[in-house]
Amino acid sequence: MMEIFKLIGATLILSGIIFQFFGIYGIVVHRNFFVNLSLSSLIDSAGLFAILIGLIFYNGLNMASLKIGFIILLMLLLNPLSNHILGRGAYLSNYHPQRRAKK
Amino acid sequence: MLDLLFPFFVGCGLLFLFLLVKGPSIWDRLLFLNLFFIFMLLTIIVYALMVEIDYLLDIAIVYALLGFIGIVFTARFIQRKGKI
Repeated sequence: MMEIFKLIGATLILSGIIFQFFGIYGIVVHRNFFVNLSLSSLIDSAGLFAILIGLIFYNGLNMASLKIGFIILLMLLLNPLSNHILGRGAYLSNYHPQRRAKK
Repeated sequence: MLDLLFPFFVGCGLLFLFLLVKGPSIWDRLLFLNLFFIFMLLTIIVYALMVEIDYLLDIAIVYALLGFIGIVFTARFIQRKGKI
């Protein structure tokens, strides 16, 4: 029975890493700030939560998993807020990055 | 399996540190700092699970909160040009 949970955890962690890899590749390629902002929220939400939920499955139900669950709840609230504040601050202080010339 | 995760997160953190230094404007730097906090948070959690020490996860919780507050007030400070 425990092997199934570890398997579910491992697949969740792998999917989280794949999401993060797409986000990181996109951030390295794109120079535009607002595109990077949406990619960073992809990394925050899709990658982070899949990995943390996978760690809970992988670790079984004990005290550590309770703390990881609390971190998940915390990140659920804080990450969208920090991305919004960054985007709003950049837009209001009229930071408009120039479109990169197509090669 | 956790031993494979650990270098990946540390590597991503270092990549974002490099991008932070290179970032064209201050807003990009704040964004990369935010992502650096996320990967450091994941590194702390995976390390805590590797060495089976529970109180390291409390440090991860405090780290997440402080990272968020740091980002919010730095962005506010920059946006209002010093007058919070």
